[in-house]
Amino acid sequence: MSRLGVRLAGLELANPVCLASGTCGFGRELADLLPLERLGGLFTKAVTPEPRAGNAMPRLAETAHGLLNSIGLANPGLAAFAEDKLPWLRSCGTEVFVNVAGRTREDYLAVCARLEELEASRPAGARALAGIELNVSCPNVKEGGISFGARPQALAALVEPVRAVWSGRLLVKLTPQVADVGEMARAAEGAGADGLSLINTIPGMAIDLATRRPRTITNTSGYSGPAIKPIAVAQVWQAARAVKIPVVGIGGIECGQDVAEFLLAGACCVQVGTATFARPRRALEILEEFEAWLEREGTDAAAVIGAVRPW
Amino acid sequence: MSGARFHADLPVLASRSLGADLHELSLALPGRDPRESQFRAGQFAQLAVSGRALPRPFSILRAAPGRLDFLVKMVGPGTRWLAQAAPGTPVPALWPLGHGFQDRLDGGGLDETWLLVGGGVGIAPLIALKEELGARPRVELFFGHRDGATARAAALLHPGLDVCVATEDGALGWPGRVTGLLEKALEERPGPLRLFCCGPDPMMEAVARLAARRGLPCLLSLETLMGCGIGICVGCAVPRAGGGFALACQEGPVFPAQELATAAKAEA
Repeated sequence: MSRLGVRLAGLELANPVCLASGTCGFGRELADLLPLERLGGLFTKAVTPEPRAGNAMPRLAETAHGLLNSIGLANPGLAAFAEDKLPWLRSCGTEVFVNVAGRTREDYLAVCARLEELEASRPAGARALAGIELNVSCPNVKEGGISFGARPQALAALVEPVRAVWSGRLLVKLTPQVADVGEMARAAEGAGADGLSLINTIPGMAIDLATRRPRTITNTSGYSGPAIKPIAVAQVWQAARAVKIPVVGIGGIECGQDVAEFLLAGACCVQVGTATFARPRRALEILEEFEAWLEREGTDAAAVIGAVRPW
Repeated sequence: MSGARFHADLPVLASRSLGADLHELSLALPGRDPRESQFRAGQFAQLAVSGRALPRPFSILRAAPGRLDFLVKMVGPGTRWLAQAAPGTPVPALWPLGHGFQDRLDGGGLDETWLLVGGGVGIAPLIALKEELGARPRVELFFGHRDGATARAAALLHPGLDVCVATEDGALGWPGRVTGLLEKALEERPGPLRLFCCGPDPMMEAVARLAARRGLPCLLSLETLMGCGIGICVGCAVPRAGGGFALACQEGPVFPAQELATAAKAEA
């Protein structure tokens, strides 16, 4: 492998910098601004069985050090994804993980089973999906999402049947809103997950003083951006120590040093999220900064993973 | 998306204070591609500000080879940073985005009188539209401002343009809201009319209501809160008249009024 190459559950990534679900659409929206093929991979917007319009406005509120969002898993639904998004994603030149969400276990199974069929029947020569990222941690929907990710038994009861219908790589995206992330990580691993992604956004709230209204429509909503990075690094470190499967780090990554920090904590790769909104090419700049850091350190990305020296 | 989009750190050429917290911000274009300075009135740019998660959308006021101009009103830390940025300060920019007025035009013969109605910083895309229309006859401008000081500051942006001005404090031009001035004009003008509008939501709803009552075609450029500007954050979802949402950054920011739920509701 090259200096930047890393492995994620048997998959060789050209480098450890990927785009996070919910911040890169289905890739095509960014393709003229950011050469996707230079990144490690991309994680699509969540796909649910049915099209979802999402929540009413206001959906976004910027705060001093981050961003609150309450999108509500707006997406075109499984059929439109398969028809309009997937063929392009197969040709975009990077590894693609499909983020899957639902209200019920049946929702998740329907999407994953259909993706299994689509993989089996893909045209000759078409690139395979890198895997599924199971979203059990969205804080902005009333049903599903985080209700599966908050208790180990509920998580295992979702991951096991998904494992039975999806033969490809399966990552589970966990929430930081649990007492012991290690317990959740072990539950996912025991149920057959090939890897973990963490963290999703953290519930937060901001209030407009003039109107006394919460600044997002769901009152509390998902907080992202640089403010949550130390929480994410801690969660990655705790999860990575609890399981043997790989961990994908997410949360407030803004520069090359942030990538190094997540890898040291035990992540095998990272997803850049909110930073893409202000600078669509940011993920590539972050990759270049990380590469420069590796050169200065005289080391390789793979050698940094888990190399933190805890007290 | 239609046409080429550009993404670069543009150095500030100048930020000219107009008074009343308004600034004319000029950014230097790299000059690598002639399309850098091409846009359609109503299209916008996303300008990122230091230390904040989201870029800010601004209608493009004017573009010339080597420069892009914007009207910036200081309302918070982001716009303050932009307005006060020293010459040479790099501003991460993404442009041109969205659809302009003429992209959403359905008909519009030369027999029509076009009324361009702007409120506050919403005058910027209408100044651009007036310039884009060049010598087209029968184009009239109606601009509304909160007070005389703001109206005088804004007027520095369009020297030589013939504008009917309204101020809510009555210090300049028609005393009251620009919609009152517009209503009077609608009654006086013979022949077919078409409205183009950009301003605060309540003003645009009022203009849409006036248009609907008279059965006039009306295009609105929304000043919606946006996140990314390119359809990936899905934060700028405006309700459609027929249900569901449209992303203002992708389908808009210019919409025919009847496509929007707020304007349709105003009509009822």
